[in-house]
Amino acid sequence: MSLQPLILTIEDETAMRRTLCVALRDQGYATLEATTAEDGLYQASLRAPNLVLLDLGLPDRDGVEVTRILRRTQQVPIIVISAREAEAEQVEALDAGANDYVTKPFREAELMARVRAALRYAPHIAKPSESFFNGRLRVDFMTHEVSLDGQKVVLTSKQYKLLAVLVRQPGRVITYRTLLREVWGPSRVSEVHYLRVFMKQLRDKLEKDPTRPEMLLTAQRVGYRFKPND
Amino acid sequence: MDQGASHSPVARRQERRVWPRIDRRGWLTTAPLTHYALALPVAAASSLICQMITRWAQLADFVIVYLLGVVAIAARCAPGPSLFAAVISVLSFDFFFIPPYGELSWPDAGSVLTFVGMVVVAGVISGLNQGLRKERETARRSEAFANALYGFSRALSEVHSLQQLSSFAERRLAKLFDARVHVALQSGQSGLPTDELGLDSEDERKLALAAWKKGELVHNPAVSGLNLWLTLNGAHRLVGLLGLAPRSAKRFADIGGQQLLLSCASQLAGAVERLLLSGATQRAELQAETERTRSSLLAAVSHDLRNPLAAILTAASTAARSDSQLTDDVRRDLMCTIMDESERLNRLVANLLSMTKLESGELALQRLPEDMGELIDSSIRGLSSASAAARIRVSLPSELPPVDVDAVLVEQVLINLLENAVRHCAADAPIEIDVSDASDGGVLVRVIDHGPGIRLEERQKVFEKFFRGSGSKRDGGAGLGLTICRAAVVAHRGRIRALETPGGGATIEFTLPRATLTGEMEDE
Repeated sequence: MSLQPLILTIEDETAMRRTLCVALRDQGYATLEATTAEDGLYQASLRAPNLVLLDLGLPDRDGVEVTRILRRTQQVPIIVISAREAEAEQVEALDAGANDYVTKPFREAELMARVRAALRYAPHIAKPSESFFNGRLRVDFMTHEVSLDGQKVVLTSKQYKLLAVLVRQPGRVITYRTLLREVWGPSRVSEVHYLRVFMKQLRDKLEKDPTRPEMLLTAQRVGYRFKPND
Repeated sequence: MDQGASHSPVARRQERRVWPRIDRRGWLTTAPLTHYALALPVAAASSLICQMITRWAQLADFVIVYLLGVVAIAARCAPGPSLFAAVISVLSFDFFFIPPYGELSWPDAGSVLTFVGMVVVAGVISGLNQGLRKERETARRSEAFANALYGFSRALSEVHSLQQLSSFAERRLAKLFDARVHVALQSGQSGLPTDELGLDSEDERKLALAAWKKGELVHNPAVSGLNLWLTLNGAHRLVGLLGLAPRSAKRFADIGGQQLLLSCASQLAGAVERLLLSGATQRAELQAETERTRSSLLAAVSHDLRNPLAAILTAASTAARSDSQLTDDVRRDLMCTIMDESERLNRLVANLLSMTKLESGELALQRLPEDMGELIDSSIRGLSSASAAARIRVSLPSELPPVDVDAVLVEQVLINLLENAVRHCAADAPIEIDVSDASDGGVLVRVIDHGPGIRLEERQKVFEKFFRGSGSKRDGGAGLGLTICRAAVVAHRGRIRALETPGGGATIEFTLPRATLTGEMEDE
């Protein structure tokens, strides 16, 4: 039993919370439930879950604040759940350290894919590695060399930086703000079109079909994520 | 002077003329030396003329010549220069024409009379002229005053938002009064606009407070900085405060400062009230319109909302019955029905929300530079059926700059168009998305299907609310999909229309604006 990943669901709506827990248990995860932010934070500190599903519309506390508090003490992956209208909050939560997000209403398959990805790549956040390799793409963070299917890919300095920021945190959604700050510096954090142009260039070089990317995915209105493999 | 096109060049020119006119008033002090100096050439000229006519003339004629010179000066100059000219003329007369010639001698009784006469004539004439000039000057000043006020109020009438108004008024008044000006408008319903004051100095704040409490002009020259405060009095209440720090007290007084200032303040208060009122009216109208749209929409679609709900309820209750002998396959079927109908319901609700927001003008577009490829990709991912997604072929130019759009809306446009195409076409017919350059400099997107197409007479109507094409099946949407597409495209200042696909089928094409790229994305 103890080998099952433990997932804490913080959600005040009973129907949603129960359904989520049933679905998670069905996939072989152990579950914990909390209906308030206070209870959620308490359980998180007590039981050290492997993943937290956090609803952003909690009655007692701002979801972004909960994310911040959790991040202060733990590296546990956080997936925020939010309504379609609360985009700004979503982005804030991601900037505050959440790993991923799903927007209500969502399909079970979509959530499970996010959960799996977040659990699988969680350790990468803690220990920065020297290189990345997933069978197709190799990124050497020391020499800045990138190769795809054994073929060397020549990237410009900015293209490489952008790729590296995404690849270092596989599966995780990186917001526009963060990407722009890391690659172009703090004065350019609102120049989203830089990202559009450079992401297109990267996809042209790395994706089989640049119009239907499989690795460099768009998180609409939020940012980009690197999906390491299927 | 950088309000740009916000007011006409005529008003600007008029205002520029105001200053020199007002400055010219100080005759005695501003240009006296040249006027005094005039006495010398005039006396010299008079002496020369007398010298020339000396053969035929008598002494009395000389006096007339000198007198003419003095009158000429008195007609133009103030009493000071005129009297000076009279003295110089008498001395010249004495020097050249009263024996002994070539030296100043103590004059006899006759000469004294000449002297006195000349001075009196000079004094009287220049005095008369001075009066005329003063009147002219008064007229000029009141004209300048009226012009200044007129220019100010006209410029105010061209400001259309409260946000611009205070900074605009500050600039205009600063220029007009040659002073540092601070305008604080009241944003809330009542009370002092303390937060809006934004003053650093405690003295200034105290003075402003005093003006607010009294409701009238307060001036304290001892305070450095904004030492003159007055309230902006609207028809019913105070709408703000105006603070002034005149750079030159004299100039301020010269243009009838206080009175002009009061007039300007009342103009400004009027403009504030006008903008406040028009804002309130607009909001009320918008709310009423929103309310109308919402209720008509709800009435019309409640039927469409109930259909999927009914299906879900029936399917779920059947599946949940404990005494049933349903096979697993049947149960899965029921669940699939629930899923499909939920998707439909979800789409319908999303469309309804966008519709109301778009129509009411409440929706502020969140425009960002977006990559068309990304938008198309995520809309294809957003389709409810995976088999449909596989039928879609995308052709994108390789060098397409970003578009300046609200990603969520454009995605919804694409999803609606694609779902329509999927619904109306045979299951294996391809659906194409083609992106190219539009003739207006934007980007042209076409969604092409090879289904039954849209009849010519219906190509306009399909974009209308609740319209269902004659060929559409009952399981379709609420007749809102294309309406939202049009509203969303129009909100981006684009165009949308329905065409026939060559060889049969429907093509919907729309344009989107391109993003203007700023800054260079240096990439070493």
